[in-house]
Amino acid sequence: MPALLETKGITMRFNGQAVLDGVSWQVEEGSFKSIIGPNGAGKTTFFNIISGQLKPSGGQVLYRGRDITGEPTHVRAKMGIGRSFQITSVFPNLTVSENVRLAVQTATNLRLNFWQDYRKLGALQDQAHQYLAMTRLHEKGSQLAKNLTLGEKRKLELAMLLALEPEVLLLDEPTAGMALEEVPSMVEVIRNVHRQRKRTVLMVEHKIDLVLDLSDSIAVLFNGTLLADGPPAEIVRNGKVQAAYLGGLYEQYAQG
Amino acid sequence: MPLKRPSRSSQISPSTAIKTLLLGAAIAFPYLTDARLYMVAAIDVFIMAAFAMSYDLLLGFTGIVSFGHALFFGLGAYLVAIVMKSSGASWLPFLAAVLLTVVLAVGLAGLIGVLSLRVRDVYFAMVTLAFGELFAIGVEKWRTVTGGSDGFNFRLPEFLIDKNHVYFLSLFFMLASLLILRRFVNSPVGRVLLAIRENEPRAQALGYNTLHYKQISILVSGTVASLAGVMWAVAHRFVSTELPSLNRTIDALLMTIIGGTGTLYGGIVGSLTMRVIHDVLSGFSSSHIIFNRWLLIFGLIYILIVLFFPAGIIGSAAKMIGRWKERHPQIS
Ligand SMILES: Nc1ncnc2c1ncn2[C@@H]1O[C@H](COP(=O)(O)OP(=O)(O)OP(=O)(O)O)[C@@H](O)[C@H]1O
Ligand SMILES: [Mg+2]
Repeated sequence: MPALLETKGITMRFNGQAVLDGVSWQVEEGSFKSIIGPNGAGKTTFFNIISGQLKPSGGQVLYRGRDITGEPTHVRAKMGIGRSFQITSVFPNLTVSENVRLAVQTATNLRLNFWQDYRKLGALQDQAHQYLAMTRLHEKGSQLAKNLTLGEKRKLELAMLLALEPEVLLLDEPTAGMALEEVPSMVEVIRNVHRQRKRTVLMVEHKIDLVLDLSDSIAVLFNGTLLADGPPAEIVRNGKVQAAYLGGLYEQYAQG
Repeated sequence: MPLKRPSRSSQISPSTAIKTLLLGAAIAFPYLTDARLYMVAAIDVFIMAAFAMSYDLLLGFTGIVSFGHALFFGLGAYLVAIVMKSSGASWLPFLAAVLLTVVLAVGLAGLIGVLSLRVRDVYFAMVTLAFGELFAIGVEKWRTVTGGSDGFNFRLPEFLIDKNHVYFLSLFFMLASLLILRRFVNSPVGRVLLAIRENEPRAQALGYNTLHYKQISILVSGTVASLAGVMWAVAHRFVSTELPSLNRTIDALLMTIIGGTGTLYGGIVGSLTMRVIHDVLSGFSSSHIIFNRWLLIFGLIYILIVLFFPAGIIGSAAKMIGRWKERHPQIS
């Protein structure tokens, strides 16, 4: 059986400079994989290539064994590859519940409905409300998304992603910008999606304790190449990783 | 529970009251004045309002700028004019011309969409400009059929010559355009247009083929605009190259911005405002030479409106009412 998601020799050059240099990676169905690496290592770029925002300069992306390198973002989203964005990306002048309702709507066959009033499609509103409750935003439903705090916007990102009900969730620093006391509840939401709903999760995250806690396996991206890929215990012990990156960062987070 | 609001059918909201009042005034208008000048002005306001609302669908709801919208207006006007000129004043060719207008508008909108939407939004502006200018030049050069820049007169069925009939037909056309467009923008498809306006890459990441939705928006907008052109031809029984000109597109753009983008009603308010300003200023032109430069003065007024009402008249009013309600929550 092929891996759920696989990249083969992904290379990405911006203005001639290689940001990703032959990244080959596999993700098994139902796993929780994290990608760590210093700022500018190419993590977000890698996510952009998996979800289709960017076309790689070279290499392939396979989903369930099928080459999807040429597929546009919306097709991949329909296939079940959903993502959240590191730089919060919502619909600023729409209400919070409308942001989520639009995510719910993609899964329906309303794509050619020109006539019904969206406010009367109660089932969609209710579903949107559930995802808002899940991410503890249910009291903010009628606010405009642009009026949310940064932390609330991060939650909205997550609610929109959950509402897509994707097979694979790509989370780009899901807790960045969130108040410290809000992080545990979001971690619980992410853990539940993985454990109870059996979804595959790929996460980019700088909070190393969180990564070690959640992940089945961790990939380390350094200067555009995969330095290591394995279970947390192995990664922590890996000398190369320690030398290059993890040691310093872990100390930094242990102190902070 | 923010989702389900209690129904307020028992009481009439102020906005419903205002709308009913205005509609009543519009219906009573022909019985209050028989001055031809006012009737013609009101008819133009209605038709241009529908045209501006169709533009708002692109600019205010989908977030794309067209510089060729008058192409559709001119298409409808010239099609009806040419058909009626060559066939005489009967209904069948007239209705056939209206039908053909819709078919051609859809076809042209499709072509423009296919040629421009795959690339960035600026290309849409450029391609629409190119198409619009091409059409305008074509109309001017093809003298044998269009009469060139002089334009031409034509005849219509008896019923469409009565000014009262035309008045109510235009009013009906504007209201129908408003209701249909409002229904459309509040539909699931219409909401995706808003999502595209707000953040297109995000809409794609949610699984929406945004190209397809923008195409739908252009089709609907172009069709309404072409029917506005038909109405204009009916109202004036005369067409000229001024109809498909860039100026008319700019008029729609200004009306939409003055009235408030993304509101639909803004098109009506903008159309009325521009007409009033225009007529008042040209009325003064005999008293002082400066009023001959009505565009100049209009430019100043436009700048003032944009400075003081950045969301347009309707948009700013809605905001003020919203803020007032926040401060006085007990009176709703
Ligand atoms: N569109 C782009 N054009 C040019 N350079 C880019 C582009 N996107 C990213 N880069 C560059 O590629 C490198 C990797 O960026 P990327 O955002 O993938 O890093 P990252 O690992 O996500 O970093 P961080 O931890 O800060 O989020 C950076 O040097 C960045 O400047
Ligand atoms: Mg990043």
